[in-house]
Amino acid sequence: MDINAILKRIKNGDRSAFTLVVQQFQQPLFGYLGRMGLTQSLAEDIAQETFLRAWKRLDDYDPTRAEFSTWLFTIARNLALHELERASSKREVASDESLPNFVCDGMQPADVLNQNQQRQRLRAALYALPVTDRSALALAYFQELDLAAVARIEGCSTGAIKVRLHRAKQRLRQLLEKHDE
Amino acid sequence: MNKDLDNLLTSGLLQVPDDFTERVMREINRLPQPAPRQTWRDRLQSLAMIGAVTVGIIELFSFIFGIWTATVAY
Repeated sequence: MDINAILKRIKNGDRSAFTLVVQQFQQPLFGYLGRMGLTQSLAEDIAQETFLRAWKRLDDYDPTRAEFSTWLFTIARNLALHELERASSKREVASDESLPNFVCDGMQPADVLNQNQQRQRLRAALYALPVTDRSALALAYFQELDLAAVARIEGCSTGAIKVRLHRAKQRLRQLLEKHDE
Repeated sequence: MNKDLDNLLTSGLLQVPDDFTERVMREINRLPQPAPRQTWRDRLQSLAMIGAVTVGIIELFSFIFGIWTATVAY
């Protein structure tokens, strides 16, 4: 369903239509927060707070200025950066145990183990990236956001985003290769 | 490596809890309906309206006062 139609329903007093907003964006939001290196519990708190803030400020959203996804991810980014800053000042480091186990039907235990190890390596590598590069990379993997939208959320030019993405991917590859050796 | 990295990054590191939507909606239902926030333009409009009403009332009273002074003079 078109997001603007959903927002119109909410403005007309249909509170339950917000369920559709949550259902549409929860998966990409968790994807983004995971790539930002947040733990499962922190990501749940931030994702919930993102939706609550979006609800409170829904009237501030202007569809002529930006896509809803850009607006929503700007809220999520600010909350995530604030949380990471707070965590780093308290020297809290995301533990590997906080990764949920993804088990798909028909998967062998060895595959599950291998997949979880891969994800833990990726997470450690992501954590080693500067937070601004990590954020750009995390946003870029959400299909609905193009480079211009990512640049808008990050508050810089498209050129700067391209540089950040290139640098982040290169560093990530190096870190993962180093780990594989 | 590029493709592997892309796949890893797209696969997602976290899972959305099954009850996440219900959890969010429970909190949303406790909040009031979003109200439009006043912008500087809205505030300017309100000020202009208050100013115009004040001028109107002064005009009305000076008119009444004018009539009163004219009738009292005779």
